[in-house]
Amino acid sequence: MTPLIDQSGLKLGVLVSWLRQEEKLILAAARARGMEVTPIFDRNLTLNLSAPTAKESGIDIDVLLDRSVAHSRAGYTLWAMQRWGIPTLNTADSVSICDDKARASMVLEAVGIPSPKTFVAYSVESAIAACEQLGYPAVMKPVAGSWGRLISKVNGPDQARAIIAQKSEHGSILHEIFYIQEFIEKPGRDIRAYVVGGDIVAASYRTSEHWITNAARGAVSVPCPVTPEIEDLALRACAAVNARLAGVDLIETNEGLKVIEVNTGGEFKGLMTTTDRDIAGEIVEEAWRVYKDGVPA
Amino acid sequence: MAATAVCPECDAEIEVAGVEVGEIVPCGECGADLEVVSVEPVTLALAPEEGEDWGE
Repeated sequence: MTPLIDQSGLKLGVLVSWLRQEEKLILAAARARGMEVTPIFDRNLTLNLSAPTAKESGIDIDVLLDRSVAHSRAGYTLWAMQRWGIPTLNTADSVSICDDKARASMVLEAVGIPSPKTFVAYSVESAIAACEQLGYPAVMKPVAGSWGRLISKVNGPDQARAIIAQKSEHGSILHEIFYIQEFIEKPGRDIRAYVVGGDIVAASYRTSEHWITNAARGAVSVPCPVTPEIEDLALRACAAVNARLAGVDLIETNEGLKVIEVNTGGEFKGLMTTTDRDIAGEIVEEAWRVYKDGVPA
Repeated sequence: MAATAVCPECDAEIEVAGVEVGEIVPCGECGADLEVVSVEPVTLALAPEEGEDWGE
């Protein structure tokens, strides 16, 4: 259990889209430590970019914990906080990398973290060329968004054309950036390793009969022992993207573990059913440490 | 705080004890996701639809 440290008076803002069970636990953990905690609903924010301080833009906090699910809103809010000298968990830079799967893949590859072979393409023909190089089946994902939405397993060129045509009709430029990965047969599960402040809090297997194993898609979480390989990869992945708080998704392959994603949103609803660790408590403790450390130079 | 509120979609009565503003509660009758927009008394509205960049 996390020891209760007297953090009375710390003004903790928690950026939310709505209050889920996880955010309610975080608010309760902050209150238990004497923090003045305020949920800040992203849709209600008015950011006065001309204001010299956050306070003069109506935001009177010492540190901001990002729990928003709306990536664009979270991004601009974190950038504004950085401009005003308000430390945030995570930083705007870290979140902007992790909210873009292609950028995150580039960062992980650059530091040699094992991850699935990935291509980015911008047109139907180039996307099909990428699938051909990877071999079928391949996996097509949107570069932004998550929860397993709009992820497709592509079994051949005809299906690839149909999926790409459908994506292009979404009317968003993001759906014309094709992020394509090798399909890895997994043993009916992946691994969620939860990192807070340079430590692994816990890990869980997310099991599903479907090849998509997101908790948001109904995968069931069960305890997973934190092996040295899980710890090493998860911590290195977080260090690569400068994340102090993240859910790192790993996949078991014949070549060892590979990192699929570093989620700075760090959902823990499934994980918390598998561990006695006080995840919400550890998150608010980390927010306090972020405040003590200040905005990175 | 009222222990029940009415679903704006199907008029079903929903148990809402202990909820906070901004929380999402599902309607057990019609399955709609509902947002708590006020407490004392608890009032509910249809939850915002997921945006394309929403996620973890």
